[in-house]
Amino acid sequence: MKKMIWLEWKKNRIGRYVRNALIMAALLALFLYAMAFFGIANDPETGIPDAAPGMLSISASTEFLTNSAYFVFTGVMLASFVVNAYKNGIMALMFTYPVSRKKILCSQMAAVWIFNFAALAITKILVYTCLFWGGKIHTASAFPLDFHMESISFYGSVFFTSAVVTTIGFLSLFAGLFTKSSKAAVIASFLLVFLTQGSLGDKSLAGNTTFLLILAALSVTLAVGNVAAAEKQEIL
Amino acid sequence: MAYLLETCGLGKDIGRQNIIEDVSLHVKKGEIYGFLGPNGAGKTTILKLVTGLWNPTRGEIFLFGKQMKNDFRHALKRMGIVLEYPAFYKFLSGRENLELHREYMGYYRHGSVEEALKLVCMEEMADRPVKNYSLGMRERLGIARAVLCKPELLILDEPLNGLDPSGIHLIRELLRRLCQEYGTTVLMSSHILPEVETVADTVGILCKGKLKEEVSMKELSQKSVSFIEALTADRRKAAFVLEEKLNIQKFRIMEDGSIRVYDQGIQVESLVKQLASEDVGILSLGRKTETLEEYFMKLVGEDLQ
Repeated sequence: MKKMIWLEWKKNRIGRYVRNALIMAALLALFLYAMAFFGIANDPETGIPDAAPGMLSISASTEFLTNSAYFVFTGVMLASFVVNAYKNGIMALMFTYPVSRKKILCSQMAAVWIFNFAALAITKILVYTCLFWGGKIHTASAFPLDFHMESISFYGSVFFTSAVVTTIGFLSLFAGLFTKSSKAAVIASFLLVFLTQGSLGDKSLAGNTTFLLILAALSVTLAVGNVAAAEKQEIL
Repeated sequence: MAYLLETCGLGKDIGRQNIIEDVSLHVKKGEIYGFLGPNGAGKTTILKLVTGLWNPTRGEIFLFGKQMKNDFRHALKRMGIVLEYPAFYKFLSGRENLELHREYMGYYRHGSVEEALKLVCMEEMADRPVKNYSLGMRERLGIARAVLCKPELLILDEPLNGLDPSGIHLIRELLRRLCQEYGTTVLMSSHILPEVETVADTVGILCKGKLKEEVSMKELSQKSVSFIEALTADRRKAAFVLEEKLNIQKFRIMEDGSIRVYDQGIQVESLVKQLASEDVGILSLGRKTETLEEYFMKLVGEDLQ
């Protein structure tokens, strides 16, 4: 399985995604640093941050931006690794190899999941590290720096959120596979951003762990169903 | 006789549509089997069933003497497959695509990639990204990939599509070589009948999802009608001489102006002499047999109309 995942990365030129993830991490870090210490989000008249309710701390903004970015990044990667493979005949080629179809699909999904989980966790840690050191350099911050990098639970939370967000990002794959369209997968990833930041009645879904876990469970269920159906699948 | 590939009463329905019906193929070890049929006859469907990409609605497939559903992965390891237009990772080079194929097939013989590239004369272009390849080059690379692991059974769907005459010659020679040197069995579908005629040992003729006939080229030449074909300066005069002077009734003037004499009793030498004595200018004259194309049209012509 390790070799199959490596082959998926190799044939999809993972170097491009590493470069893009690095650029995205740098831009996110720069933007959040500027929000915190250069006051780019401040109202010019009052001088206080012009933020939506619930986004008044730097960790809320960091979580929102990094998670949103990776919903889309995961969607784009899935569209390229899996949905396009069905469209351009690569999957038909893969299914003529003497390898279990379940293993092929699992390796494709695992290649995307592992990369995005690691990239999201690293991005979050990079952004928080920049903000942490920014807090040491600058005397004041526009947003309260409400995170504790010294605590182990901070890292636990980063890894847990990264895993949940990456798993939810896979919902876009099933939208793409159902409609046989890579564009649909990418659009679905944008819809996921709105869905996870939306509200149900007067209850906000942003940061609602139960809701996120339900979405993640749905994603896992669909993935298992998809893999289980692979052996009988007819393609081309 | 033991066959390398055998199908028994194979059928495939999609919805209510009957795509193929009761197809029983028999492909012998080491032969080139040409699978012929007009567009939409079901050739690719059968190849998809044989390669496991589709599941049959009815019937059985036996590969290497074993029922396909029981030992499919092992059978795939012994097969090389090119279906429709070969798919590649277009940003990778031809060589990288072959190396990936080798990894998935679990075939690590040193120098096999170079060997496969050489077989299809692609060594020079091997390091260029596939996105820059022409259709013909992709077809050749597809065949290189299919033969890379020295398969026992090579399945090619319209392998001559997009190839120029030199490419067609190259593939024809390659198929012969694979059969002679490595004992590879080839199942190829094609609608380029003259090409199939030159390489195939057996042909299966498919029309409207049904196998019309399965016949070896040897049997076909015995079954085919033999005739004398004459190209004359004046076909009307020639026809008059044949009918009135030589009393030959079984002849036909073809669309291209040639005359075909089907009377088996008459000899070429005597016909030349008699036409010449009646002052009919002969441009060419010789004994011929029906081509595969003519046989094919005779067999499926009515269905097509």
